[in-house]
Amino acid sequence: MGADGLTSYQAAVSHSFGLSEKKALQSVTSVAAQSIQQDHRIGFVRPGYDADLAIWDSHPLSVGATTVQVFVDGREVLDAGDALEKLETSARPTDLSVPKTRPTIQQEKRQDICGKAVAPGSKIAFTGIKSVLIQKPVPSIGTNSVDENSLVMLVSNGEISCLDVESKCLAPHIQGSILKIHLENGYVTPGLVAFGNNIGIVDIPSEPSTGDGSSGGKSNALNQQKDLHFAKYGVHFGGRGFGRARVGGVTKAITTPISGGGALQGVSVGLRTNENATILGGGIWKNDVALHFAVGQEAKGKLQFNQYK
Amino acid sequence: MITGDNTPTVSSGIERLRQVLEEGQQQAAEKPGSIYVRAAKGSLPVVVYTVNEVREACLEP
Repeated sequence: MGADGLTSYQAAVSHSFGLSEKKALQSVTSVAAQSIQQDHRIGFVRPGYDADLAIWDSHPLSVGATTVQVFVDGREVLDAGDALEKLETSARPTDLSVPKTRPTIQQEKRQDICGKAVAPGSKIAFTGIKSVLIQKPVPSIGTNSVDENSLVMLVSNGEISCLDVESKCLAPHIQGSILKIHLENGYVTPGLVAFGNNIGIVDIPSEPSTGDGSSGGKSNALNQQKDLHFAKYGVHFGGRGFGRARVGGVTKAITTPISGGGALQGVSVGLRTNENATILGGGIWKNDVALHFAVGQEAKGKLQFNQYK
Repeated sequence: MITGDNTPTVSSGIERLRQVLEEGQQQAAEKPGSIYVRAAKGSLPVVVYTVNEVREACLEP
């Protein structure tokens, strides 16, 4: 079995997208062994087979599953003392259970809901909110009378118009139709800020023409007028990176100019990932966020395309 | 006056950073809005990207 992170990660991703637990595990054990015609000695836990085994601290298809011990040819690879210590503590049921797969939705149902949600003047009520992690205080939280699952968040015109118990937010006097979306184990968190990506400055890192372009190698950090570059003059909105960022909960991004190498990278800009953001229409929340430098191997004057990992 | 900047070494990268901040300090009076002046004063954040790469020698048993 691939005790390294990569193969089991691939199996976990496949499982989360719907591959059955059994098939996902087989893909890194028995089926993999069969495909290289080694299933007579590896890929199964059977007497007579190679003792190449991995013991995991939680379900191998779950995020963050870590090997407690690895045996190669019957020999322990990881520290035996640490491994024994971990094995002596009993695992929690949550660690051992199969991770959930991503929910799927029918195309028609999705179009129906999304159509209603983006219609002008629409009101959306999210129910099933388990926890609120934003700073704005919710008046009713903390009092004993609140049942956790009775929180409702009402969104209208792109703003949160109510975040409170159902009785307060969905009072009968509220006019207009409300689209209700029920969450399973819902959380409200602040928007994330992306940092160190190419959002807004280039769409395809290996193709400079899809973005600001890359400056030449030679620049003089002490010649501010010519060689200090600002990302705010080179950003464009509407690239795929923005959509992906939104799906991941990213509402803002801090983006530096593409650097051609060298110590001075330039001045970053603060962008919003809103769908309809434009440069002069609120897409930039801060013109100059920070002055960026690179010191070390990266700054040795080489041309970099995909500077940030 | 340095033309065609080159920072082929880690040390020259750090020298450049220091020079930039010193320039910012010197120009504080004449160009208060300049980026280097704001960086030197602390009103604009400075982000230094660096990677601590540790290469370990492998010892064969």
